[in-house]
Amino acid sequence: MSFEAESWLPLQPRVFWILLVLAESPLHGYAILKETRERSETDLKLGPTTLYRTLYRLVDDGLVEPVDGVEPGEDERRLYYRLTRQGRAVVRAELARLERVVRAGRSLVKGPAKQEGR
Amino acid sequence: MKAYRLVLCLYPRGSRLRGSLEVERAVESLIVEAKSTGGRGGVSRAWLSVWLDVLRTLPAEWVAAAVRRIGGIEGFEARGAGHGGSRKERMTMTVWVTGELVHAIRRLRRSPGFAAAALLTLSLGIGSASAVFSVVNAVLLRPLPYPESERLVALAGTRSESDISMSLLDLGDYRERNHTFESIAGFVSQIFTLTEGGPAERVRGQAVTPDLFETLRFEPVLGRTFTAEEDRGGARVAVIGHALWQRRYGGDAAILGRTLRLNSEPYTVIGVMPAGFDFPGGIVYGAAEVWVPIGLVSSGWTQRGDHPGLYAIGRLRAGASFDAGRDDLGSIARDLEREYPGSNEKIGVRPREALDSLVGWVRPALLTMLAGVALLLLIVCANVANLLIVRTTARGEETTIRAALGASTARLLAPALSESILLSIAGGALGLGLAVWLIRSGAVLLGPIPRVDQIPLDGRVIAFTGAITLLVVLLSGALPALQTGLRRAPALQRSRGGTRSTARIRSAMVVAQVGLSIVVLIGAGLVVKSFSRLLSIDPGVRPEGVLTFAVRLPEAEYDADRVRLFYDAMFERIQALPGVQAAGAISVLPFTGSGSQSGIVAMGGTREDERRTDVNVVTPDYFSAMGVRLVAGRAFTPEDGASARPVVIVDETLAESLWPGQAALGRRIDGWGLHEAEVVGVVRHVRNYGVAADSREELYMPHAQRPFNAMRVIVRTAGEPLDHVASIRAIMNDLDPAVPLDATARMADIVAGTLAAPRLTAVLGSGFAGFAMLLAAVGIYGVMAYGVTQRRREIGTRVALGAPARRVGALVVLDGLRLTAAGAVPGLVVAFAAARLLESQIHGISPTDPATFILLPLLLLGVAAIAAWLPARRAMRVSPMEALKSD
Repeated sequence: MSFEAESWLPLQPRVFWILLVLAESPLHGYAILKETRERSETDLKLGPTTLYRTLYRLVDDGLVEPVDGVEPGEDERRLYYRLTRQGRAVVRAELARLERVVRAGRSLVKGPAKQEGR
Repeated sequence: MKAYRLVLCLYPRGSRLRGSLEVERAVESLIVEAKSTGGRGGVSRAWLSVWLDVLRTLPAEWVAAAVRRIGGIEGFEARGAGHGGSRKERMTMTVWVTGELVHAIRRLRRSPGFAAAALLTLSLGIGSASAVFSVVNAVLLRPLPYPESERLVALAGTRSESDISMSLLDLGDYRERNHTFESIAGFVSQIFTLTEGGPAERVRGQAVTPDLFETLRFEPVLGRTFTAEEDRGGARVAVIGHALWQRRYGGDAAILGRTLRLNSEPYTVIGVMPAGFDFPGGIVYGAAEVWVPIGLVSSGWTQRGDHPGLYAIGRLRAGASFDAGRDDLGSIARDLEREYPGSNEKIGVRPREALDSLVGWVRPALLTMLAGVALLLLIVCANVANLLIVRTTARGEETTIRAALGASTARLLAPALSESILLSIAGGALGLGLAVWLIRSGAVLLGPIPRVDQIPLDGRVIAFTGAITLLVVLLSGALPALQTGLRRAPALQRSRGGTRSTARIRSAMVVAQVGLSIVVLIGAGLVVKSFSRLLSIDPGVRPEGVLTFAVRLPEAEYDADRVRLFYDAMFERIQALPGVQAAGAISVLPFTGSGSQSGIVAMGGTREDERRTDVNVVTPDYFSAMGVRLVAGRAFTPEDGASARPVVIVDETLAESLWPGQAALGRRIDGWGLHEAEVVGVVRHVRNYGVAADSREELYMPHAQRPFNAMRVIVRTAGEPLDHVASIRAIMNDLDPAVPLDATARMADIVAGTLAAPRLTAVLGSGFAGFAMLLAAVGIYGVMAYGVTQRRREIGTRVALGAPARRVGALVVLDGLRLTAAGAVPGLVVAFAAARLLESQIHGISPTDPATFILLPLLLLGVAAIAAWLPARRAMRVSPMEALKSD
């Protein structure tokens, strides 16, 4: 059975952000928590239990996997997570979808758009 | 952190969140960081978010776990991350839940005894909790009927920290100098005799500053209120209340501009207040249906030292706190004390939040009741949990087999949980009905507690009932469910139920019940004992068979001589009525919470020796009519007339404080406008501010020497006092049809009214205690009876080996007592610590009253012994043959 990234879309915001911050580098749970809070710049408030609940789901679904080896100097008590190939594909698919949405939106809604922040 | 670790264990088996170290570490880091960046507030915010997060995920994980299991053979395939199961799976879930509930209903119908017992306890528990809460809601929580009433502050004056009325000049300074109030309005109670447009009627009213209506944010439905010019000019204008308008004038809009005769003076009606307007409505003394400008009465209040019954109500500025307002006025009061040392020494101001000034006195009693009912509810939960455990145990074999065949935990938990849900919801609904009934039939008990005339069954009460019902489901259903969880353990070998863990849980429930019952029992014991002490306090009067009513002779028509003539004639005719033993009158009726004070000094004393006492004017037969005993000397006689030398009677407390250890008779006093008045009698002290309240020393002078127009008449009768109202009304009508008979009441009711709060706690408390003890006894009985059934074989063996039956019985009873003692000891410790909280509500006994702390546990032990003896009797009758054969 071939893998179809599109079948996962659209992603829930919290799922999207978790995948997004993991796309950069493998992270442990608490770092994911912090990164999503900082990067999203929104009030996406991910609680620790919600995070792990979602994370375990993603592992079950094969989008994310725990990292076996620990890099030297890293905190070895923590388990790191990284994106799987499928996971990366899903993020890309979601980004592409969002781009389409944004393009469509821009062409429909004209006027001086505030592009950055608030 | 520890709590969080525990909560992580509550996630369902199969959930990777369950006991996850990883999650724990993330939370740890989160808190550590919050501490370093956000300080204390940051940490609590972080914890809040963590717990909210748990609340979101915990149920979701359980549902997911259940769905996963039910999926069974078809298997549970998550379609995608973050999607909570397909529609089909959700359908399965609904079908399953409905099925379980239907099963539970069938099971409950098959065991009506259990269902009835559980429903009865639940509805009694939930019903009494809801009833108490709706009273708390109606009295303490409901806002006052004025817009933004939380900003209203009632003001009274103080002298040496005890409440007095305010001085008009001081009030003017408070109004001008404060920074925290939008407005402060003054008012003084007036009693009017309304003659015109119907028979003479006594109506209560107030003379008020023009800004009163604005302060309360109320506008008239008809016409307008006073202007400042009308107030200054002393215009005879009046605003009337809605009820008076409807009652006397049939709601006729032509009332505006009409002239009323109040105390024989003409007043033009300029406005009618709306139906919901009730001021003062108990916030301060009095009641009112007519409002006139204060300028009409205030012309004589020229001295700063005059405190003519004036009170005030202020509205805080938006954003100003009550504390800020209080401090503001307090500092003005201190300034005034410095500026006018002659009149304002020790004079202060006492602001009270308006709602608090109305209901503050009854708050402790109501909150105690709420605490009591909460304990009761816990006992109910323990009891129902116990009943459910018995059922779970009885299902033991079935459960074990189902577990062995691979049923999911959710499936195994379902029977116990669905039963507790059904029972609690039915119990909650019945309880709500019971609460309505309890409130309606218990209204008498609430007596003079303010705002209980209308106890609404509003959203808050229903939400409260819903919340406690949910709590009961959790508390009573959790343990049986937990027990089922334990049963997942491998064993078929102990399938006959009654495993050790079950027995231990059930015993623990009983211990908890006994412990809680002890707390309730001792709390109730203390308030009941204190109440009986209060009942045995001598109020100083004998109120049984006494009728009281108010008479006010209009000042415009009655001068001093006419007042004397009227009262003489009135008493002569009342005393001639059959069944009347004595009749007298007093200026301020005791036990009504008000009094008139003056400074007096024993002759030869200096200003420093001045004592402030309650002062009253009485007619010669007042003491015999009211049943106030004469201790020494004589009562007033008709000879103590206007032209005779001034005489007074003191009560024993005043005599003792003016002339300690010496005879008071023949001494002379000055003050209250008297000069060298001779003490001719000493009477018993009357607890004039209520039996439980602090009372004041009292001075009496004869009415003939100071003929007040308004008096409270006291008539001692044989039999029912109210039976005499009609004939007295006829006499009054005969004497002067323009003088109404007002405020008729049994004196006994008025005295009893001062005990409303302690009576409420005592009656409800003993109800709670009885119920608690009954439940504890049922719990003990249940556990012991069950134990006897389980141990039939053992008992049979003992008997077969020659153990005397009595000894077997004693063994069972001892077991029961041991359980009771195990609960009673910690219960006593808690009760000992908690009794301090009752301190404000008990009088005359210590909160750690030894008799209560010894006798009540013994009583409970006795009840426990009986409860254990019933199954013990059965144990004694066990026939060894049958017992050994049965297994």
